[in-house]
Amino acid sequence: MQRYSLYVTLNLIDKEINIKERREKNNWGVVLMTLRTYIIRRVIVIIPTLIFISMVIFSLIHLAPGDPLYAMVGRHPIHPDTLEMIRREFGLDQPVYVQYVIWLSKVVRGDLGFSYVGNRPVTAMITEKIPATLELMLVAESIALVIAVTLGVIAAVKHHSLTDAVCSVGALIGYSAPNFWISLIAMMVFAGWLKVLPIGGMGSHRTFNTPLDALVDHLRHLVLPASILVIGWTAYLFRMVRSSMLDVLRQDYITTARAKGLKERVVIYKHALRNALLPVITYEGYSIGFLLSGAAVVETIFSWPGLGRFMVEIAGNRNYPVLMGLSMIIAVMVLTANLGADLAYAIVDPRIRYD
Amino acid sequence: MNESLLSINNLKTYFYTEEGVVKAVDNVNLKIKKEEVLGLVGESGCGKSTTAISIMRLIRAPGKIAGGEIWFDGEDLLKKSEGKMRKIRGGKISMIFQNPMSSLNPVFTVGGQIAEAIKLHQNVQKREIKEKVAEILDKVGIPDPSERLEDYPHEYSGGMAQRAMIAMALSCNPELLVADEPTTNLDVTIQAQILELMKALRKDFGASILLIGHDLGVISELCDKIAVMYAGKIVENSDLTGIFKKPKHPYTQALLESIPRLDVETERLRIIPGTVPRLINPPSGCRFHPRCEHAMKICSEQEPLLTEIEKEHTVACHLYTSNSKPSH
Repeated sequence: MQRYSLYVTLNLIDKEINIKERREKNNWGVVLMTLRTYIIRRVIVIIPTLIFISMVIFSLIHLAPGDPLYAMVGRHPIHPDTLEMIRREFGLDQPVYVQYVIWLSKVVRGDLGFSYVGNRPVTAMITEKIPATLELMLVAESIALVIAVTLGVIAAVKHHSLTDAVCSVGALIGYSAPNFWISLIAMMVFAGWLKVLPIGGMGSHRTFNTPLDALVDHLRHLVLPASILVIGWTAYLFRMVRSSMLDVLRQDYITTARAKGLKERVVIYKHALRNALLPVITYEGYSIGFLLSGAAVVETIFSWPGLGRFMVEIAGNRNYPVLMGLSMIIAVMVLTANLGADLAYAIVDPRIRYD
Repeated sequence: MNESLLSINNLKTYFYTEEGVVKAVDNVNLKIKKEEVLGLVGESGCGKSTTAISIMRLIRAPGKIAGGEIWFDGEDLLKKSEGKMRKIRGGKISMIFQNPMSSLNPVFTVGGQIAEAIKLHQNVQKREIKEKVAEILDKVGIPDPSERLEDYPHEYSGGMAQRAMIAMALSCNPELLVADEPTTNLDVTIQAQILELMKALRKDFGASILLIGHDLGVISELCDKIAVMYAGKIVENSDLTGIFKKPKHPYTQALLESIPRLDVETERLRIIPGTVPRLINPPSGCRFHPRCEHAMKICSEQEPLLTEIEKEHTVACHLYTSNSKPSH
């Protein structure tokens, strides 16, 4: 019944799209209208995806050996009756599916529950760590994108040249060198030997004369962790841009563009790049997953107080509400990024129809 | 000589691959007069398209024009700077390709792509460009041109896309149109339409055309003269009647016999034995001799030169040189 109604909803939206006159497609109002219905459709699909993800993660966490009670009380000897009482209080005496339904019914109302340790609301614990990670990821992402696209285009245009070889080998190294290893080396060199950059944290614990000083100090702390993320993601994106560009440069329409008498610069940056970036947009959708896993390592090493470090900290204990909350937040972030990438793709590529 | 619009002399275009030098075009000579249509025929891989791309000077690495001259309007294109060559491309010489759908850039509108060419080569006011594009699209038979110019290539059918490509090529009134197998990838009915269109436009625009193809039937529809190419060389060059009624070169004869005909009753079509030679290591002497039924000793030893044996009819074959007797 529920599937049927979902189907009907989707169909109705389809109809709404089809009614749109073909002639009006270059009218931005219509484009935004169809985009809106497209977004609604996609969000409708995201909900069952999230529920499925939550079920898998919930089962996995409960399948893993260990007892959350030890996370709460430590390994002190405690009377079994007391343990039983705590167990009942947190609903841990219920079967797993009952626990899941209770958890889900709270989540739907926006309540991720309380941490077993410290009794703080999970939502607050997570949201206070999001800005730090977001800052790190956005900075790394923008820098990586600029470098990767620039070098990727140059390498593809000068295929088989020395520049191409140097960039490609560099990318291979950057791609295969483990994050934690580069992090430690960078820390040793720049913070240990040269003493030009701070060893970790988000800022120095002192008072600053001007806000500008504070900003500079903050940026100095950002340099190392961001650079490490940039290295890996640039290497990855560079390979994408280069191969995509090489492929596009072989296309017939590039010959057409040249045969028209266009300057090579216009051929490359207008006709080729626009096409070559289409697959890159899709990969940008995955970037959040890649960057988060990188952030887990980098934030831990450089004591950057973000989600990544938090993830590593709590992974080991059985703090179910925090684990579930964090997993769901990450799932939402990844799905949103994918949706964003698909939307961008739909806007940029005229061949994509919003259905 | 003076009346030729395009005159290709001893053109050599080689590809320097890891396996060796591929002589895709080797000493090719061609002439096209003003308002003349020359058909360049041959099997795939014989160097027809490479010749076309060489005229545009768009050969990409590892390919290179290794020698020869391409005279166009009294100037050698091979001596022109890249900047001057760009003015000629799309302006005086334009080109249409085999795959109309993949020859249009998928992310720009058809009208925008045609407008790009007009902006480059013609002095047209910005607001008049759209009208001009609609006008040219109308000429090539696109319905509702002022609306359809806003469409993206994927919204066109193959035939319409080729019409749009022709519109783009003709938008700047070129003196020479190089058409590289313009109908090969289209349905037969669409092929006929495109050929009709080209015939009509030929009168309208008065451009010379180099029509490249492997289908003698298609070529004969439109051309005044035909050059037959085999393995990087021109083997025969004549007007329509010369090629169809009195073909000289054994390869041309074999090609003609492999076309199905309604007026002659035959059990099977003639096939040419063997395959097109690889151009890395072409056969010595006449490149056709391993597949030729008239092959003589001299054929494998000495390369036959293109000689005029009748007025305006040249052929490169030892059967017609003085010391051997023609068999026909």
